[in-house]
Amino acid sequence: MTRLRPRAPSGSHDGAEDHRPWLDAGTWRGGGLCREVFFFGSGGHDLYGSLYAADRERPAGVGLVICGSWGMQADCSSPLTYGLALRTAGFGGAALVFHYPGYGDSHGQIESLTMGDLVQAAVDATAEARSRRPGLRWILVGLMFGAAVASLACEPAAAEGLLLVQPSLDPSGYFEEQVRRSRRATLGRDGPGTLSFGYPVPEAILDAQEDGRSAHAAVTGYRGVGALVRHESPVPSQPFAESFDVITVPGRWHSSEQDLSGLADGASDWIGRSMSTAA
Amino acid sequence: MSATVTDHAALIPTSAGPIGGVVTEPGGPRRAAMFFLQGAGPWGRSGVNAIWKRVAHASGQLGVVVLRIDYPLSRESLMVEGRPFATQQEATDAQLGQAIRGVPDIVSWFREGIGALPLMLAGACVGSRLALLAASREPSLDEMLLVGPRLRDAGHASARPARWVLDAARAIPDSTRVCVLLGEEAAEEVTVIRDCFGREEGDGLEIALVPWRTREQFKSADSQRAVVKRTVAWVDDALRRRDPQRS
Repeated sequence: MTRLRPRAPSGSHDGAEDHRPWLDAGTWRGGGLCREVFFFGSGGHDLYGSLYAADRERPAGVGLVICGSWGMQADCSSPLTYGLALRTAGFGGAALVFHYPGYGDSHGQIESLTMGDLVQAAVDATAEARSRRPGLRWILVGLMFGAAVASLACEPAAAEGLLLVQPSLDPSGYFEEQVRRSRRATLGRDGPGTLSFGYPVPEAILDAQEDGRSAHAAVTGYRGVGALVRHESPVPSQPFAESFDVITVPGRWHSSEQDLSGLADGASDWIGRSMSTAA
Repeated sequence: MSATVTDHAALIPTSAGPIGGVVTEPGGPRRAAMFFLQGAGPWGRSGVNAIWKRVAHASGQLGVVVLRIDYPLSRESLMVEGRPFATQQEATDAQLGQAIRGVPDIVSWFREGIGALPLMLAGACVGSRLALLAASREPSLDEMLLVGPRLRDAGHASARPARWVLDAARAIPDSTRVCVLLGEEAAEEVTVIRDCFGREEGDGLEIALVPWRTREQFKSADSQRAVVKRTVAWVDDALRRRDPQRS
Protein backbone atom coordinates (compact mmCIF):
# COMPACT_ATOMS: atom_id res chain seq x y z
CA MET A 1 0.00 0.00 0.00
CA THR A 2 1.22 3.47 -0.85
CA ARG A 3 2.15 5.58 2.13
CA LEU A 4 2.10 9.32 1.96
CA ARG A 5 4.44 11.80 3.49
CA PRO A 6 3.73 15.45 4.24
CA ARG A 7 4.00 17.74 1.25
CA ALA A 8 7.54 19.08 0.91
CA PRO A 9 8.15 22.80 1.08
CA SER A 10 9.27 24.52 -2.09
CA GLY A 11 12.99 24.90 -2.69
CA SER A 12 15.01 21.79 -2.11
CA HIS A 13 14.78 18.10 -2.89
CA ASP A 14 17.21 15.22 -2.70
CA GLY A 15 19.60 17.61 -0.96
CA ALA A 16 19.96 19.79 -4.04
CA GLU A 17 18.43 23.15 -4.90
CA ASP A 18 16.16 22.85 -7.89
CA HIS A 19 13.07 24.33 -9.38
CA ARG A 20 10.06 22.08 -9.58
CA PRO A 21 7.28 24.15 -11.16
CA TRP A 22 4.57 21.91 -9.74
CA LEU A 23 5.32 23.11 -6.20
CA ASP A 24 3.82 26.51 -6.93
CA ALA A 25 1.36 25.63 -9.72
CA GLY A 26 -1.68 25.09 -7.52
CA THR A 27 -3.27 28.44 -8.38
CA TRP A 28 -4.22 30.01 -11.70
CA ARG A 29 -5.92 33.33 -12.46
CA GLY A 30 -7.40 34.53 -15.71
CA GLY A 31 -10.60 35.55 -17.42
CA GLY A 32 -12.06 36.89 -14.17
CA LEU A 33 -11.67 33.52 -12.46
CA CYS A 34 -9.35 32.08 -9.86
CA ARG A 35 -8.67 28.36 -9.72
CA GLU A 36 -6.99 26.40 -6.94
CA VAL A 37 -6.12 22.68 -6.95
CA PHE A 38 -4.90 20.93 -3.82
CA PHE A 39 -5.11 17.91 -1.56
CA PHE A 40 -6.84 18.04 1.82
CA GLY A 41 -7.10 15.55 4.64
CA SER A 42 -10.13 13.38 5.42
CA GLY A 43 -10.22 10.16 7.39
CA GLY A 44 -6.44 9.80 7.25
CA HIS A 45 -6.31 10.14 3.44
CA ASP A 46 -5.37 12.93 1.04
CA LEU A 47 -8.40 13.86 -1.05
CA TYR A 48 -8.21 15.83 -4.30
CA GLY A 49 -9.95 19.19 -4.35
CA SER A 50 -10.45 21.77 -7.09
CA LEU A 51 -11.88 25.21 -6.42
CA TYR A 52 -13.39 27.45 -9.09
CA ALA A 53 -14.01 30.99 -7.89
CA ALA A 54 -14.74 34.45 -9.22
CA ASP A 55 -11.68 36.65 -9.01
CA ARG A 56 -13.98 39.25 -7.50
CA GLU A 57 -16.59 37.46 -5.42
CA ARG A 58 -20.06 38.89 -4.90
CA PRO A 59 -20.59 40.00 -1.30
CA ALA A 60 -22.36 37.20 0.58
CA GLY A 61 -22.37 35.13 -2.59
CA VAL A 62 -22.94 31.42 -2.90
CA GLY A 63 -20.41 28.62 -2.91
CA LEU A 64 -21.08 25.01 -3.92
CA VAL A 65 -19.48 21.84 -2.63
CA ILE A 66 -20.28 19.28 -5.32
CA CYS A 67 -20.74 15.65 -4.28
CA GLY A 68 -20.39 13.73 -7.53
CA SER A 69 -21.97 10.45 -8.48
CA TRP A 70 -20.17 7.11 -8.33
CA GLY A 71 -17.62 5.39 -10.55
CA MET A 72 -18.45 5.40 -14.24
CA GLN A 73 -21.52 7.59 -13.71
CA ALA A 74 -19.27 10.14 -12.00
CA ASP A 75 -16.89 9.94 -14.96
CA CYS A 76 -19.64 10.36 -17.53
CA SER A 77 -21.28 13.23 -15.64
CA SER A 78 -18.00 15.14 -15.28
CA PRO A 79 -19.11 17.73 -17.88
CA LEU A 80 -22.09 18.48 -15.58
CA THR A 81 -19.88 18.58 -12.48
CA TYR A 82 -17.22 20.86 -13.90
CA GLY A 83 -19.71 22.85 -15.96
CA LEU A 84 -21.68 23.73 -12.80
CA ALA A 85 -18.48 24.75 -11.04
CA LEU A 86 -17.43 26.97 -13.91
CA ARG A 87 -20.87 28.60 -14.28
CA THR A 88 -21.09 29.29 -10.53
CA ALA A 89 -17.71 31.01 -10.59
CA GLY A 90 -18.96 32.98 -13.59
CA PHE A 91 -21.96 34.14 -11.52
CA GLY A 92 -19.55 35.60 -8.96
CA GLY A 93 -19.54 32.65 -6.55
CA ALA A 94 -17.31 29.63 -6.05
CA ALA A 95 -17.51 25.85 -6.30
CA LEU A 96 -15.42 23.03 -4.93
CA VAL A 97 -15.21 19.74 -6.82
CA PHE A 98 -13.65 16.94 -4.79
CA HIS A 99 -12.94 13.24 -5.36
CA TYR A 100 -14.24 10.65 -2.89
CA PRO A 101 -11.62 8.49 -1.12
CA GLY A 102 -10.09 6.04 -3.60
CA TYR A 103 -11.76 7.65 -6.63
CA GLY A 104 -9.87 9.68 -9.24
CA ASP A 105 -6.86 11.38 -7.72
CA SER A 106 -7.87 10.91 -4.08
CA HIS A 107 -6.05 8.39 -1.95
CA GLY A 108 -7.74 5.58 -0.06
CA GLN A 109 -9.35 2.24 -0.77
CA ILE A 110 -12.60 2.42 -2.68
CA GLU A 111 -13.63 -1.17 -1.87
CA SER A 112 -13.81 -0.66 1.87
CA LEU A 113 -15.71 2.64 1.96
CA THR A 114 -18.82 3.21 4.04
CA MET A 115 -21.41 5.94 3.64
CA GLY A 116 -19.92 7.38 6.81
CA ASP A 117 -16.57 7.79 5.01
CA LEU A 118 -18.22 9.56 2.07
CA VAL A 119 -20.25 11.84 4.33
CA GLN A 120 -17.12 12.69 6.31
CA ALA A 121 -15.34 13.49 3.04
CA ALA A 122 -18.16 15.90 2.12
CA VAL A 123 -18.03 17.50 5.58
CA ASP A 124 -14.25 17.91 5.37
CA ALA A 125 -14.54 19.28 1.83
CA THR A 126 -17.03 21.88 3.04
CA ALA A 127 -14.71 22.90 5.87
CA GLU A 128 -11.85 23.20 3.38
CA ALA A 129 -13.96 25.32 1.02
CA ARG A 130 -15.13 27.55 3.86
CA SER A 131 -11.56 28.09 5.05
CA ARG A 132 -10.51 29.15 1.55
CA ARG A 133 -13.53 31.41 0.87
CA PRO A 134 -14.97 32.37 4.26
CA GLY A 135 -17.31 35.07 2.96
CA LEU A 136 -19.63 32.75 1.03
CA ARG A 137 -22.80 30.82 1.91
CA TRP A 138 -21.83 27.21 1.24
CA ILE A 139 -24.42 24.91 -0.32
CA LEU A 140 -24.02 21.16 -0.71
CA VAL A 141 -24.83 19.80 -4.16
CA GLY A 142 -25.53 16.12 -4.78
CA LEU A 143 -25.48 14.67 -8.29
CA MET A 144 -27.32 11.32 -8.67
CA PHE A 145 -25.69 8.98 -6.12
CA GLY A 146 -23.97 12.01 -4.59
CA ALA A 147 -27.39 13.29 -3.49
CA ALA A 148 -27.44 10.68 -0.72
CA VAL A 149 -24.00 11.85 0.42
CA ALA A 150 -24.98 15.53 0.29
CA SER A 151 -28.27 14.94 2.14
CA LEU A 152 -26.53 13.11 4.97
CA ALA A 153 -23.67 15.62 5.12
CA CYS A 154 -25.82 18.74 5.09
CA GLU A 155 -26.36 18.97 8.84
CA PRO A 156 -22.88 17.94 10.08
CA ALA A 157 -21.28 20.24 7.50
CA ALA A 158 -23.53 23.12 8.64
CA ALA A 159 -24.29 23.74 4.97
CA GLU A 160 -26.53 26.70 4.18
CA GLY A 161 -28.42 25.00 1.40
CA LEU A 162 -28.97 21.71 -0.40
CA LEU A 163 -29.25 21.26 -4.17
CA LEU A 164 -30.07 17.74 -5.38
CA VAL A 165 -29.77 16.92 -9.08
CA GLN A 166 -31.57 13.76 -10.29
CA PRO A 167 -31.08 12.27 -6.83
CA SER A 168 -30.64 8.59 -5.98
CA LEU A 169 -31.25 8.58 -2.26
CA ASP A 170 -31.03 4.81 -1.75
CA PRO A 171 -27.29 3.93 -1.97
CA SER A 172 -27.84 0.19 -1.62
CA GLY A 173 -30.51 0.14 -4.33
CA TYR A 174 -28.37 2.36 -6.52
CA PHE A 175 -25.45 -0.06 -6.39
CA GLU A 176 -27.68 -3.10 -6.94
CA GLU A 177 -28.97 -1.50 -10.14
CA GLN A 178 -25.49 -0.46 -11.28
CA VAL A 179 -24.13 -3.98 -10.76
CA ARG A 180 -27.08 -5.48 -12.66
CA ARG A 181 -26.61 -3.09 -15.57
CA SER A 182 -22.88 -3.68 -15.64
CA ARG A 183 -23.32 -7.47 -15.70
CA ARG A 184 -25.80 -7.21 -18.55
CA ALA A 185 -23.51 -4.92 -20.50
CA THR A 186 -20.42 -7.10 -20.06
CA LEU A 187 -22.22 -10.47 -20.24
CA GLY A 188 -20.63 -11.37 -16.92
CA ARG A 189 -17.03 -10.83 -18.12
CA ASP A 190 -16.42 -8.45 -15.19
CA GLY A 191 -15.26 -11.46 -13.19
CA PRO A 192 -16.44 -12.83 -9.88
CA GLY A 193 -16.06 -9.62 -7.80
CA THR A 194 -18.68 -6.93 -7.43
CA LEU A 195 -17.78 -4.40 -10.10
CA SER A 196 -19.88 -1.72 -11.69
CA PHE A 197 -18.46 -0.74 -15.10
CA GLY A 198 -14.93 -1.26 -13.84
CA TYR A 199 -15.40 0.28 -10.40
CA PRO A 200 -15.62 -1.77 -7.20
CA VAL A 201 -18.86 -1.54 -5.27
CA PRO A 202 -18.24 -1.15 -1.54
CA GLU A 203 -19.85 -4.12 0.19
CA ALA A 204 -20.57 -2.10 3.32
CA ILE A 205 -22.76 0.31 1.34
CA LEU A 206 -24.39 -2.43 -0.73
CA ASP A 207 -25.46 -4.19 2.46
CA ALA A 208 -26.61 -1.15 4.46
CA GLN A 209 -30.33 -0.52 3.84
CA GLU A 210 -30.42 2.03 6.65
CA ASP A 211 -28.29 4.52 4.67
CA GLY A 212 -31.18 4.98 2.26
CA ARG A 213 -33.70 5.41 5.06
CA SER A 214 -31.45 8.02 6.69
CA ALA A 215 -31.02 9.95 3.42
CA HIS A 216 -34.79 9.92 2.79
CA ALA A 217 -35.39 11.12 6.35
CA ALA A 218 -32.87 13.91 5.83
CA VAL A 219 -34.66 15.30 2.75
CA THR A 220 -38.14 14.73 4.16
CA GLY A 221 -37.32 16.69 7.29
CA TYR A 222 -35.16 19.33 5.64
CA ARG A 223 -36.20 22.88 6.54
CA GLY A 224 -33.45 24.95 4.93
CA VAL A 225 -32.94 26.45 1.48
CA GLY A 226 -33.09 23.67 -1.05
CA ALA A 227 -33.81 22.69 -4.62
CA LEU A 228 -34.55 19.50 -6.47
CA VAL A 229 -33.71 19.37 -10.18
CA ARG A 230 -35.00 16.26 -11.92
CA HIS A 231 -36.49 14.91 -15.12
CA GLU A 232 -40.29 14.76 -15.17
CA SER A 233 -40.22 10.99 -14.98
CA PRO A 234 -39.83 8.79 -13.09
CA VAL A 235 -41.52 10.57 -10.21
CA PRO A 236 -39.63 10.17 -6.88
CA SER A 237 -41.13 7.39 -4.76
CA GLN A 238 -40.89 9.41 -1.56
CA PRO A 239 -41.83 13.04 -0.93
CA PHE A 240 -39.34 15.83 -0.45
CA ALA A 241 -39.79 18.56 2.15
CA GLU A 242 -41.92 21.48 0.98
CA SER A 243 -38.98 23.82 1.43
CA PHE A 244 -37.41 22.40 -1.77
CA ASP A 245 -37.87 24.36 -4.98
CA VAL A 246 -38.68 21.76 -7.61
CA ILE A 247 -37.29 22.30 -11.11
CA THR A 248 -38.54 19.79 -13.64
CA VAL A 249 -36.66 18.99 -16.83
CA PRO A 250 -38.64 17.50 -19.74
CA GLY A 251 -38.24 13.84 -20.57
CA ARG A 252 -37.48 10.59 -18.83
CA TRP A 253 -34.31 9.94 -16.86
CA HIS A 254 -32.14 6.89 -17.53
CA SER A 255 -29.09 6.21 -15.40
CA SER A 256 -27.08 5.83 -18.62
CA GLU A 257 -28.29 9.21 -19.90
CA GLN A 258 -25.49 11.11 -21.62
CA ASP A 259 -27.21 14.40 -22.34
CA LEU A 260 -27.18 16.17 -19.00
CA SER A 261 -27.64 19.66 -20.42
CA GLY A 262 -31.25 19.99 -19.16
CA LEU A 263 -30.20 19.17 -15.61
CA ALA A 264 -27.23 21.53 -15.91
CA ASP A 265 -29.45 24.38 -17.09
CA GLY A 266 -32.02 23.75 -14.34
CA ALA A 267 -29.37 23.69 -11.63
CA SER A 268 -27.62 26.76 -13.03
CA ASP A 269 -30.88 28.73 -13.12
CA TRP A 270 -31.46 28.01 -9.45
CA ILE A 271 -27.88 28.87 -8.52
CA GLY A 272 -28.15 32.14 -10.45
CA ARG A 273 -31.37 33.01 -8.59
CA SER A 274 -29.75 32.15 -5.25
CA MET A 275 -26.88 34.45 -6.11
CA SER A 276 -29.30 37.30 -6.89
CA THR A 277 -31.13 36.71 -3.61
CA ALA A 278 -27.86 36.82 -1.74
CA ALA A 279 -26.94 40.13 -3.37
CA MET B 1 13.07 1.08 -3.01
CA SER B 2 11.46 4.20 -1.59
CA ALA B 3 8.15 3.50 0.12
CA THR B 4 6.54 6.91 0.06
CA VAL B 5 5.20 9.12 -2.68
CA THR B 6 3.73 12.61 -2.74
CA ASP B 7 1.13 13.85 -5.20
CA HIS B 8 1.14 17.49 -6.25
CA ALA B 9 -1.92 18.98 -7.92
CA ALA B 10 -1.01 21.50 -10.60
CA LEU B 11 -2.52 23.82 -13.17
CA ILE B 12 0.03 23.75 -15.95
CA PRO B 13 0.23 27.03 -17.88
CA THR B 14 -0.02 26.54 -21.64
CA SER B 15 -0.68 28.95 -24.46
CA ALA B 16 -4.26 27.65 -24.68
CA GLY B 17 -5.03 27.87 -20.94
CA PRO B 18 -4.44 25.89 -17.73
CA ILE B 19 -4.09 22.11 -18.01
CA GLY B 20 -4.94 20.16 -14.86
CA GLY B 21 -2.17 17.75 -13.89
CA VAL B 22 -0.90 15.66 -11.02
CA VAL B 23 2.81 15.08 -10.43
CA THR B 24 3.72 12.07 -8.30
CA GLU B 25 7.11 12.34 -6.66
CA PRO B 26 9.09 9.60 -4.92
CA GLY B 27 10.02 10.11 -1.30
CA GLY B 28 13.53 8.82 -1.91
CA PRO B 29 16.08 9.43 -4.67
CA ARG B 30 14.68 10.36 -8.07
CA ARG B 31 15.91 8.01 -10.80
CA ALA B 32 13.82 8.92 -13.82
CA ALA B 33 10.68 10.71 -14.94
CA MET B 34 7.66 9.59 -16.94
CA PHE B 35 4.96 11.54 -18.75
CA PHE B 36 1.90 9.31 -19.00
CA LEU B 37 -0.73 10.07 -21.66
CA GLN B 38 -3.91 8.07 -21.09
CA GLY B 39 -6.66 7.35 -23.60
CA ALA B 40 -9.41 9.86 -24.30
CA GLY B 41 -12.33 8.88 -22.10
CA PRO B 42 -14.51 10.40 -19.40
CA TRP B 43 -12.35 8.91 -16.63
CA GLY B 44 -9.47 11.31 -17.38
CA ARG B 45 -5.92 11.10 -16.11
CA SER B 46 -6.65 8.59 -13.36
CA GLY B 47 -8.14 5.97 -15.66
CA VAL B 48 -10.95 3.53 -14.95
CA ASN B 49 -10.87 2.70 -11.25
CA ALA B 50 -7.74 4.86 -10.98
CA ILE B 51 -5.49 2.36 -12.78
CA TRP B 52 -3.13 5.08 -14.03
CA LYS B 53 -2.96 6.64 -10.56
CA ARG B 54 -1.96 3.20 -9.26
CA VAL B 55 0.72 2.97 -11.96
CA ALA B 56 1.98 6.44 -10.96
CA HIS B 57 2.17 5.55 -7.28
CA ALA B 58 3.90 2.21 -7.90
CA SER B 59 6.35 3.91 -10.29
CA GLY B 60 6.95 6.63 -7.71
CA GLN B 61 7.90 3.96 -5.23
CA LEU B 62 10.55 2.84 -7.73
CA GLY B 63 11.97 6.37 -7.86
CA VAL B 64 10.14 7.76 -10.89
CA VAL B 65 8.55 11.23 -11.05
CA VAL B 66 5.27 10.81 -12.95
CA LEU B 67 3.10 13.43 -14.67
CA ARG B 68 -0.51 12.74 -15.64
CA ILE B 69 -2.85 15.33 -17.20
CA ASP B 70 -6.50 15.81 -18.07
CA TYR B 71 -6.86 16.57 -21.76
CA PRO B 72 -8.01 19.99 -22.91
CA LEU B 73 -11.78 20.59 -22.80
CA SER B 74 -12.32 17.88 -20.19
CA ARG B 75 -12.47 17.57 -16.41
CA GLU B 76 -9.74 19.73 -14.81
CA SER B 77 -8.69 21.14 -18.16
CA LEU B 78 -12.02 22.63 -19.11
CA MET B 79 -10.74 26.19 -19.19
CA VAL B 80 -8.78 26.10 -22.39
CA GLU B 81 -9.62 27.84 -25.61
CA GLY B 82 -11.76 25.82 -27.94
CA ARG B 83 -15.31 24.89 -28.66
CA PRO B 84 -17.38 22.81 -26.24
CA PHE B 85 -18.26 19.32 -27.34
CA ALA B 86 -21.49 17.36 -27.35
CA THR B 87 -20.77 13.75 -28.17
CA GLN B 88 -18.03 11.37 -27.12
CA GLN B 89 -16.61 11.11 -30.64
CA GLU B 90 -16.60 14.87 -30.99
CA ALA B 91 -14.98 15.12 -27.59
CA THR B 92 -12.24 12.74 -28.60
CA ASP B 93 -11.46 14.63 -31.80
CA ALA B 94 -11.59 18.01 -30.09
CA GLN B 95 -9.45 16.83 -27.18
CA LEU B 96 -6.91 15.25 -29.46
CA GLY B 97 -6.62 18.35 -31.60
CA GLN B 98 -6.23 20.60 -28.58
CA ALA B 99 -3.85 18.20 -26.85
CA ILE B 100 -1.57 18.04 -29.88
CA ARG B 101 -1.13 21.79 -29.61
CA GLY B 102 -0.56 21.69 -25.84
CA VAL B 103 1.76 18.72 -25.42
CA PRO B 104 5.03 20.54 -26.25
CA ASP B 105 4.27 23.23 -23.62
CA ILE B 106 3.56 20.55 -21.05
CA VAL B 107 6.74 18.59 -21.80
CA SER B 108 8.79 21.80 -21.44
CA TRP B 109 7.12 22.54 -18.10
CA PHE B 110 7.83 19.01 -16.86
CA ARG B 111 11.44 19.13 -18.14
CA GLU B 112 11.98 22.24 -16.04
CA GLY B 113 11.27 20.27 -12.88
CA ILE B 114 13.04 17.01 -13.65
CA GLY B 115 16.33 18.59 -14.65
CA ALA B 116 18.76 15.96 -15.93
CA LEU B 117 16.62 12.96 -15.05
CA PRO B 118 16.00 10.61 -17.99
CA LEU B 119 12.50 11.11 -19.38
CA MET B 120 10.28 8.20 -20.38
CA LEU B 121 7.05 8.58 -22.33
CA ALA B 122 4.07 6.29 -22.04
CA GLY B 123 0.76 6.38 -23.87
CA ALA B 124 -2.39 4.30 -23.68
CA CYS B 125 -4.99 3.87 -26.40
CA VAL B 126 -5.43 7.20 -28.24
CA GLY B 127 -2.88 8.74 -25.86
CA SER B 128 -0.28 6.66 -27.71
CA ARG B 129 -0.58 9.03 -30.67
CA LEU B 130 0.21 11.98 -28.41
CA ALA B 131 3.10 10.07 -26.86
CA LEU B 132 4.47 9.40 -30.35
CA LEU B 133 4.22 13.08 -31.19
CA ALA B 134 6.04 14.06 -28.00
CA ALA B 135 8.66 11.34 -28.51
CA SER B 136 9.39 12.49 -32.05
CA ARG B 137 10.46 15.85 -30.62
CA GLU B 138 12.66 14.41 -27.86
CA PRO B 139 16.15 13.65 -29.14
CA SER B 140 17.30 12.28 -25.78
CA LEU B 141 14.47 9.87 -25.08
CA ASP B 142 15.62 6.40 -24.03
CA GLU B 143 12.39 4.55 -23.43
CA MET B 144 8.83 4.65 -24.64
CA LEU B 145 5.82 2.48 -23.78
CA LEU B 146 2.55 2.14 -25.68
CA VAL B 147 -0.28 0.37 -23.84
CA GLY B 148 -3.02 -0.98 -26.11
CA PRO B 149 -2.21 1.72 -28.68
CA ARG B 150 -4.96 2.95 -30.97
CA LEU B 151 -2.88 4.31 -33.80
CA ARG B 152 -5.72 4.46 -36.30
CA ASP B 153 -9.30 5.63 -35.95
CA ALA B 154 -11.93 3.33 -34.52
CA GLY B 155 -14.24 1.87 -37.15
CA HIS B 156 -11.53 2.00 -39.77
CA ALA B 157 -9.77 -1.30 -39.10
CA SER B 158 -8.43 -1.48 -42.63
CA ALA B 159 -7.17 2.10 -42.58
CA ARG B 160 -3.57 3.09 -42.07
CA PRO B 161 -2.62 5.41 -39.24
CA ALA B 162 -2.87 9.09 -40.10
CA ARG B 163 0.07 10.69 -41.88
CA TRP B 164 1.10 12.70 -38.84
CA VAL B 165 1.12 9.55 -36.69
CA LEU B 166 3.37 7.75 -39.20
CA ASP B 167 5.65 10.77 -39.48
CA ALA B 168 5.93 10.99 -35.69
CA ALA B 169 6.68 7.27 -35.31
CA ARG B 170 9.34 7.34 -38.02
CA ALA B 171 10.93 10.45 -36.50
CA ILE B 172 11.62 8.73 -33.19
CA PRO B 173 15.39 8.23 -32.91
CA ASP B 174 16.67 4.67 -33.38
CA SER B 175 18.21 4.92 -29.92
CA THR B 176 14.73 5.13 -28.33
CA ARG B 177 13.61 1.71 -27.23
CA VAL B 178 9.88 1.21 -27.88
CA CYS B 179 7.81 -1.36 -26.01
CA VAL B 180 4.19 -2.11 -26.97
CA LEU B 181 1.75 -3.99 -24.74
CA LEU B 182 -1.14 -5.37 -26.77
CA GLY B 183 -4.30 -7.08 -25.64
CA GLU B 184 -4.29 -10.69 -26.82
CA GLU B 185 -7.28 -10.21 -29.10
CA ALA B 186 -5.51 -7.35 -30.89
CA ALA B 187 -2.72 -9.50 -32.35
CA GLU B 188 -3.57 -8.25 -35.84
CA GLU B 189 -2.22 -4.85 -34.76
CA VAL B 190 1.32 -6.25 -34.66
CA THR B 191 1.79 -5.69 -38.39
CA VAL B 192 0.39 -2.16 -38.15
CA ILE B 193 2.84 -1.35 -35.38
CA ARG B 194 5.85 -2.77 -37.24
CA ASP B 195 4.86 -0.77 -40.34
CA CYS B 196 4.24 2.35 -38.31
CA PHE B 197 7.73 2.36 -36.77
CA GLY B 198 9.51 0.80 -39.73
CA ARG B 199 11.12 -1.59 -37.26
CA GLU B 200 11.05 -5.28 -36.44
CA GLU B 201 11.13 -6.83 -32.99
CA GLY B 202 14.66 -6.85 -31.63
CA ASP B 203 15.43 -3.70 -33.60
CA GLY B 204 14.56 -1.36 -30.73
CA LEU B 205 10.96 -2.61 -30.78
CA GLU B 206 9.38 -5.03 -28.34
CA ILE B 207 5.78 -6.20 -28.68
CA ALA B 208 4.16 -8.23 -25.91
CA LEU B 209 0.69 -9.77 -25.98
CA VAL B 210 -0.91 -9.62 -22.57
CA PRO B 211 -4.16 -11.05 -21.19
CA TRP B 212 -6.64 -8.24 -21.48
CA ARG B 213 -9.31 -7.27 -23.95
CA THR B 214 -8.59 -3.84 -25.37
CA ARG B 215 -12.20 -3.29 -26.37
CA GLU B 216 -13.46 -3.53 -22.80
CA GLN B 217 -11.26 -0.55 -21.83
CA PHE B 218 -9.93 -2.07 -18.62
CA LYS B 219 -13.34 -2.53 -17.03
CA SER B 220 -12.68 -6.00 -15.57
CA ALA B 221 -10.69 -6.65 -12.43
CA ASP B 222 -8.37 -9.05 -14.30
CA SER B 223 -7.61 -6.49 -17.01
CA GLN B 224 -6.95 -3.80 -14.43
CA ARG B 225 -4.56 -6.00 -12.48
CA ALA B 226 -2.78 -7.08 -15.67
CA VAL B 227 -2.30 -3.59 -17.08
CA VAL B 228 -1.04 -2.12 -13.81
CA LYS B 229 1.34 -5.03 -13.23
CA ARG B 230 2.75 -5.05 -16.77
CA THR B 231 3.15 -1.27 -16.94
CA VAL B 232 4.98 -1.08 -13.63
CA ALA B 233 7.13 -4.07 -14.64
CA TRP B 234 8.13 -2.14 -17.79
CA VAL B 235 9.10 0.88 -15.63
CA ASP B 236 11.18 -1.39 -13.40
CA ASP B 237 12.88 -3.01 -16.42
CA ALA B 238 13.65 0.40 -17.92
CA LEU B 239 15.29 1.52 -14.68
CA ARG B 240 17.36 -1.67 -14.54
CA ARG B 241 18.53 -1.19 -18.12
CA ARG B 242 19.85 2.24 -17.17
CA ASP B 243 21.38 1.07 -13.92
CA PRO B 244 22.00 -2.70 -13.86
CA GLN B 245 23.55 -2.46 -10.38
CA ARG B 246 20.32 -1.16 -8.87
CA SER B 247 18.79 -3.53 -6.33
